[in-house]
Amino acid sequence: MVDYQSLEDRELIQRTAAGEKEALAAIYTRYATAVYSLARYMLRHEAMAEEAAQEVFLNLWLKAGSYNSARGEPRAWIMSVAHHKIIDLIRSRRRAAAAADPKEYETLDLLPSGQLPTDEAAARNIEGERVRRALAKLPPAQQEVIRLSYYNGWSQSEIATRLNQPLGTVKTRTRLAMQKLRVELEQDDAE
Amino acid sequence: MTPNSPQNFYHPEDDLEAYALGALDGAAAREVESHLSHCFHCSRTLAALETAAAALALAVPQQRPPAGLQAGLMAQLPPSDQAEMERRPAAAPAPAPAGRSSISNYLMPLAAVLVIGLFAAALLLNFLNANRLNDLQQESASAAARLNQLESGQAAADTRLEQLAAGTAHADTALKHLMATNYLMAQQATQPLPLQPTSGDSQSEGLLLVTQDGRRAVLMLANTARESPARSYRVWLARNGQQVPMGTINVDAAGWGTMPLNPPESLYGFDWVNLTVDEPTIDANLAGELALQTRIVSPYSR
Repeated sequence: MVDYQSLEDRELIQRTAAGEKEALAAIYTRYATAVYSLARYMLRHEAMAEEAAQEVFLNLWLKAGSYNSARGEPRAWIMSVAHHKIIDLIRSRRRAAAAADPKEYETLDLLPSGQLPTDEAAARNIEGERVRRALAKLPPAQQEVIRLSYYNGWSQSEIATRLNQPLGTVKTRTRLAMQKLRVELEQDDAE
Repeated sequence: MTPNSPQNFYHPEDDLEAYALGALDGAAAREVESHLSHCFHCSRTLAALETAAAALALAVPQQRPPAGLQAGLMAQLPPSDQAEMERRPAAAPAPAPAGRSSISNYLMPLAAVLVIGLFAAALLLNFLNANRLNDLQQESASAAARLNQLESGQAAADTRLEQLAAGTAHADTALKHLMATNYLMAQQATQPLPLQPTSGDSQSEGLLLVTQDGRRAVLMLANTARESPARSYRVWLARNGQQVPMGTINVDAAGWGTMPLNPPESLYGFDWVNLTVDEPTIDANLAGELALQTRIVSPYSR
């Protein structure tokens, strides 16, 4: 009798790829809160967040066979699959809204104003505090690019249009922002 | 994209950060995904970036999903036996047991002939089916290759359209700036103040065109690309050791750029206009390396 809950993520993914539903159920137990929270935060809509979370885990069921260790740690891969799925939903929602009524485009604008609202997360968990510290060390322009792309689902060309900046500037900021965020998080780990 | 296509020699390293953030448009993201499927080097680079991105994902306020979500998810999975069938090649049907019957001895030769005849017919059908299957496989491969080509073409067209849209937006901004310049130059009482590069080797040129009351101006740059890779400069008004930011002027690949200035008060109340190199790594409130400047001289003080 296999105790799925005790298995490591990597093995759970392999077993999911082999068609073991219990392995997917164990992945769900570990990541459902993280995936649902991200969907809830990005979509700002409870029913859509539930739908998104379900689609994410169905996607994991179908794509588990494509995971390989070169793509990094399982947690990062799982959250990447989740994030890309949520972004797809946000963009299709925007396209549908824009096609139906141009005014709706702004109504459905998901941009929260001001700073990243990570304060609440920081109070709740150590991970949030660690990321908040790392983000705060980035120049404001780079923080803004991360906020608009990662949390609000805007593409680089959309960000360039919204900020009235050349696309090249946005691309440079994106690269520098992620490189600096990586360094800050790694330094935080080392400390 | 096939493993031997020329596109494999291109590594989209500049796009990996954007991919990890989900900031690529659909076509560009598909190109990166296609490349990642066979490039170990880029996959490893992306893995490190996705670890950072995952930290962003886990930093949002945590909320438990509704209780019924897991049951709903598991109900959508195919039944175990069906899932097993989907993942495994179909097993060959078990051979029928060789039966011993009570057929009389005189019927045995006839039965043997029938069995041999059926066996030969089965062999012939099998041969014909194998040929047909081979044809179908070839047709399928050809259709898949054609579909792949169409998808690649579509992706390239999407990318080109995005580039054109970005170029059009840039051209619109440049046109507005040029119209402002023309309007200002059409006024007789404007004063040109030449900007000087701070480095003696620099061939950068600039001109600040100021209205008589100093409340409006246009900044123009030329030849800035020859010695600096910078594509934008921050503009500052300075006096008494203090600087006021006036925005950013972007220059094109040839080093030309134009920008209208609307100072908070008359420009003649300041001593200098300074241009510093703009880098995203530099805090928005700080000035980078000084590249060009001009001393502001009021026409009334001459």
